[in-house]
Amino acid sequence: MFKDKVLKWKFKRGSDDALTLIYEKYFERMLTLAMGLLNDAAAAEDVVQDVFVSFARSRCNFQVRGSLSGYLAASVVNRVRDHKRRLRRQVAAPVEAVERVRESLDPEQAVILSEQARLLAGALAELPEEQREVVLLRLKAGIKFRDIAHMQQTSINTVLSRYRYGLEKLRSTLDGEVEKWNR
Amino acid sequence: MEPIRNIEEAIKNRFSVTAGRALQDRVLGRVRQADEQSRATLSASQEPVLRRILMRSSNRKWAVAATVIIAVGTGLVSIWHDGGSKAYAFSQTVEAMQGKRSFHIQTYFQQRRHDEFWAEFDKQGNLVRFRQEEDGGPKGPLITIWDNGILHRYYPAPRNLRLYARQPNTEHSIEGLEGIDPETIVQEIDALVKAGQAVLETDPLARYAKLMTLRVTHQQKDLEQVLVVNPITKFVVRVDDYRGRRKGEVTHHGMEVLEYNEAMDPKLFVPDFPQDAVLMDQVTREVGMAQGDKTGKEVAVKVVRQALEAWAQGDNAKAGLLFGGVAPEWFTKSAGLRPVRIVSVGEAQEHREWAPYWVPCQYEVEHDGRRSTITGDLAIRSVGGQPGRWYVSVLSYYMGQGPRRIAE
Repeated sequence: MFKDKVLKWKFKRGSDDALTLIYEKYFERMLTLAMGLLNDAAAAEDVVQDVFVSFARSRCNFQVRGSLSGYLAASVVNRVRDHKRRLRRQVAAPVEAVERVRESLDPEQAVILSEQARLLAGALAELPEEQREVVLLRLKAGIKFRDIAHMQQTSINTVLSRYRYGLEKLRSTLDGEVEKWNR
Repeated sequence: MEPIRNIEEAIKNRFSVTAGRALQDRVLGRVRQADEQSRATLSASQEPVLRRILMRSSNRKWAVAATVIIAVGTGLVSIWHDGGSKAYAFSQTVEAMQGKRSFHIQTYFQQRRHDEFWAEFDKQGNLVRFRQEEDGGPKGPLITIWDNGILHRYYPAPRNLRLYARQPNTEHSIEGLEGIDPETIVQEIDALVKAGQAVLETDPLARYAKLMTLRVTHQQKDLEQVLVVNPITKFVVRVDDYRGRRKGEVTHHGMEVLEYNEAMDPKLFVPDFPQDAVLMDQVTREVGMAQGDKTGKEVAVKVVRQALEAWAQGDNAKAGLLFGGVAPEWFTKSAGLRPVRIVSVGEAQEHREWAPYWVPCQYEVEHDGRRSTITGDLAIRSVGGQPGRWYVSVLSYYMGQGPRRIAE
């Protein structure tokens, strides 16, 4: 597998393969991140599609200072925030819209979650937005706390607290869920 | 079901989504379509180009190296020097380059001098500070100094502006610098050669030369690279890229390392810009407009409208903040551009050069009692170090697509 540095270099210089390799390497990871942030498979799919379409269009001006995964994760977070802003403004938007997981009859067309992943997605959805972002960016995208602090426009101490509180809440939620499950 | 004891491990390893094959293919199809459309609209002049070349020596040494380049033939990837007593492998260069602490680089375009860089790194190889001087027109170079997250940039006349901004360097590399970092260049070549996408050859006479010359032929691109390596230090000291040889239209980009791991003069990193340059201060105060609940396109349009309205009302302090912290004297100097009536502010456009959004606008100005119309696009950029805030760049007025007076 090519290193990201090489993929960025090849992509910038017009390689079709590089675009496909980047997509294949990161599509499901970004979908997981978006799914964790939105808990809505259809919206997550739209967000990730937008991110990659925008990424492909950026080829001529492509300048990524940091890691590719960090760049794509930041793009997902920004699009998710945009999506939520739009939702908030839609007066009649049903609450379930952000909570549903789309079921599809054709698994080839679907976003598929294991039972455990479904359970985790539900628990993540109960976290406050900032805590959810920190937990997912750290654990699913591997972004450093100081960079998350930069993305959230806050101090690193606040980010660390959000991470700790987020994990604690997840632990208590999941303990309850698992008890229910085992009953 | 087993209780989930380690939450971090569970999220990291057990929370994952699988996409059906058809879904993956469908999205990839759209991504490729977007890529093709984007390429179709990309003019030849905007094609990304390589800026590479290295060498650590005087012009005289360069001339010597150039002679060697002409004499380059085909050979082995592993070459011999010191009378053939010790094998050289490109991996030695890849390894040696990881010991960089500083460099001073001159880049070339079509054999002419282009940009000059000075950069310093810490022991871990993280960028600490750099200075760049690039062609800024007849009034002197455009100078950029970046030091531990603070950016100073001088735009020579007719702009005569100096930008003071925060620019965090989260991954210790700065935009533009990565492409000329010799360490990155050799790593990329090494990866391509190992992947069978490039062939590395050497001059069969290299063992007798003071500098070794390597030629890299790319399999999937009309690109040849010539590298000059110091056989003692194993450092790459020069790289020349020749694109388009197969078509007979050669474009040359080069890079020469003038100094490597030498102590740098601290004055290089002190901004000594002309005092009459108008300051754009994005460090000591909050500038631009907060995005809030708006989308990027929405905030772009709103900041343009408010900036033009503030300027029209003569509120130069407010306009200055919305125009990225530019000092009020810029509005005095640019009185001929001051709006008296805003005709239209269009929809923001994405995916163009230099700024994430461009907003077309049209407004009227008044001069000697006569009105005329200004039309063009204003660039909207994010404020460095002030996440979620956007500003209208006054530099738009000096760009080709920027606002211009319509001929009467």
